[in-house]
Amino acid sequence: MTLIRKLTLSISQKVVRWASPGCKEWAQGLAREAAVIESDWAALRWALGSTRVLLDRREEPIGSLAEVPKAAQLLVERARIGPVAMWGALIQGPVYAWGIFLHHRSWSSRAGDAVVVLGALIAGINLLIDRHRLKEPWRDDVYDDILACARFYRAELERRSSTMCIQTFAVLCWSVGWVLAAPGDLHFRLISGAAMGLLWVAAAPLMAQSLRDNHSRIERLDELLVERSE
Amino acid sequence: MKMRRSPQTSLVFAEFLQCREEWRYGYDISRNTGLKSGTLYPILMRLAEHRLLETSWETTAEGRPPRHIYKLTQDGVRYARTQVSARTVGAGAPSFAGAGGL
Repeated sequence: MTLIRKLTLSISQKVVRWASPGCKEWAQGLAREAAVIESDWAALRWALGSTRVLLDRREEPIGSLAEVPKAAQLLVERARIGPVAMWGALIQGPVYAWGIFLHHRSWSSRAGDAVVVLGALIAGINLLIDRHRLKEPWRDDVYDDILACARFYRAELERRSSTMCIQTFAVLCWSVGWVLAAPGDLHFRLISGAAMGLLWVAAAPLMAQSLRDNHSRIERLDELLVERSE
Repeated sequence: MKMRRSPQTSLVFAEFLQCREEWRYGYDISRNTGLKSGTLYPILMRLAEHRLLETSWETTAEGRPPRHIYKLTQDGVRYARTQVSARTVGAGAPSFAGAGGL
C-alpha cells in the first residue's frame, strides 16, 4: 500500500469516526467509494472532499416508531441538562452583576454588565423551567405507550424549536454585554465586537441546521404516525 | 417542497434520470457530473432527507465490503423531471441581465 493510499484510508476512517450519528452512514459510503477508486491521487482527493460531511451535524434518523422512546429519552436527558451556551450565559451573570455596582466603571461598561446579567437571568429561568417541567413523575409513564411517547416527543421537538429563540436571545445578551463591558478604548471594543460578530456568523449555520433537523424529525414522526393509523 | 435549486443539484438530477431504475454509485455520479465528493454528498444527503432519494448497501458475494448505492424514489423522479425541464427552459430563455437591462 502506497503512502498516499494509507493517508486516504486514515482520512476516511477519521471521517467515519467523527461524523455525527445522522451522517455516519454517508461517511461510511464515502469511505467505501474511496477504497474502490483505482488512482491513489483521485482517492485522496475524494477522501479530502469527504471531510465536508463533518460540518454537517445531524441526529440519527428515526427508522420506526419503536425507536421513538429511546430518542425521546435522549432528548429529555439533554433538555434536563440544558445547552452549554445557556450555562455559559448563566455562569457569567454573577461576575458581571458585581461590575454594575463598581463606581469607577464607565456607564457603557455598567450597561454591558446589566445586559449580561439580563441574559444570565433569561438563561437561568429557562434552564430551571426545563428541569422542573421534565422532572414531573408522570412523564416516565409516557415511554411505555409508543403512540403517547411519539406525541410527547413531537411536542418536545416543537418546544425545542420555539425555545431556541429565547436561548439565542440569552446568548445574544451575553455577547452584546460582553462587548460593551470589555475594558479598553473604543478601538479595542470595535475589534472585540467584530470578533463576536464573526462568532455569530459561524454559529448561524449550526443553529439553522439544528432547526432543520428538528423540522425533519417532526415530519418523519408525522409520517410514522400516519402509517400507524392506516 | 423546499429544495435549494442549484446548477449542481440539476446536474445530479439529470444524471439520475439517465437511467432512473438503476442503483448508482457515488463515485460514478461524481465522475459523470464532474462534482467533487464534498459537493455531491451534501446534495445526496439533502435529497434523501426530502425522501427524493433512496439509499441502500450493495450486497456483494465475494466478501468485498458493500458499497453505498443510490436511486431516485418515485417522488424524486417526478421532482427531478420538473427541475431538469425547468432548467432546460431557463437555459434556453434569453437572459436580460447580461444585456444590461437589469
